[in-house]
Amino acid sequence: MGLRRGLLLLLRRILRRRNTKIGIYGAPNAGKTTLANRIIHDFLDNTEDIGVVSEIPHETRRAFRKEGILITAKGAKLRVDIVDTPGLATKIDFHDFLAYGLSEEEAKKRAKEATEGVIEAIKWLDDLDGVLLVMDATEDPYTQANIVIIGNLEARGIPFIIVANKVDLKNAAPARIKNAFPQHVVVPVSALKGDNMEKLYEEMARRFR
Amino acid sequence: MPHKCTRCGKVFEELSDDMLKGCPACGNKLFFYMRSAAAEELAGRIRVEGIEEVEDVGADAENASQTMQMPQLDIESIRILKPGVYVLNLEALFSKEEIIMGIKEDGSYVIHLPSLFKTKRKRKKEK
Ligand SMILES: Nc1nc2c(ncn2[C@@H]2O[C@H](COP(=O)(O)OP(=O)(O)OP(=O)(O)O)[C@@H](O)[C@H]2O)c(=O)[nH]1
Ligand SMILES: [Mg+2]
Repeated sequence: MGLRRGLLLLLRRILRRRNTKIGIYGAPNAGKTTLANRIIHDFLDNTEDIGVVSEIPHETRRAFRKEGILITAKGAKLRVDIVDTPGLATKIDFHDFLAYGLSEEEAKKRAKEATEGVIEAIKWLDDLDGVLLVMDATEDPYTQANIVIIGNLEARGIPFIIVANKVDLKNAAPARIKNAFPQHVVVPVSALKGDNMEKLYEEMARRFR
Repeated sequence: MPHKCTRCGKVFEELSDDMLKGCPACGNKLFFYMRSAAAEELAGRIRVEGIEEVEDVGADAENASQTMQMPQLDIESIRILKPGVYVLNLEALFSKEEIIMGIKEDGSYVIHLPSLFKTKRKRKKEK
């Protein structure tokens, strides 16, 4: 790229103030919304949430964006838009929701919306500059959903960081995630408690700039 | 491969860019990928766009084959096992431009062609 073109791109970027668009992906209940809320609380507004956190899977069934979050980490700055996406799953069965007290009708509606949510999450990928792939560190990371999304991120050349979440829990095993995906960056955090978030912000500033 | 509009019934021998915005004749967004006479018959029963309507047919399909196993997904992106139970082929959803919903095991599929092209407008912007 010539210097002239480089300058033009830089200028355009400044003028348009285009933020780096970061998508938060992962299986249902991995803690995507908790993480998105944490980032917003840390850098934008302590009272604002991007979405509802729930122990019931597929709580998030539409993608939601929060714009203009200025992340700072060790002097580095990164201006981002955060997109919280619905959980990716290979099977969505309304029976799984009945145990949480939903009626059959509500559960079926949730299953349908969750299916549409997966489609929407995948469609967003085209628009992103980077991805935080959230995994629940208490669970086996070697799932079809994780493998497929990593393969696609690699193929599209989208930089991503694997977030090994829920390390506050006793049975969390972030090392298992590192072993499963040794060629990728894995940052263990607790989105709920806020543990090790600085490390994640540093890594984001480094990779998503 | 012939596609048939699920609303007005018009048949298109070739896929065109126009169709990605909806049926050129009536604007409907669900097309049927016609593989067999049975598929065509089923297409006639789907009237409204969206998953809901397909589910009704899916229920019939399930009753018709009680022995249906966990399916091998090959070309479908989504299979409706029965209302409220979906199997998603993530690989296909990631890589294909059209969403193919399988509702029967006889080679019939519903394709939601424009679904990948209308997100920009549909997206919720957070304020
Ligand atoms: N212990 C612990 N629990 C967490 C952590 N992060 C999230 N959770 C819990 O995990 C559950 C799911 O969290 P969500 O943030 O709703 O997960 P999600 O990935 O957005 O889920 P979907 O929207 O359904 O795909 C909730 O009960 C959270 O409180 C964490 O770091 N530690
Ligand atoms: Mg969520």
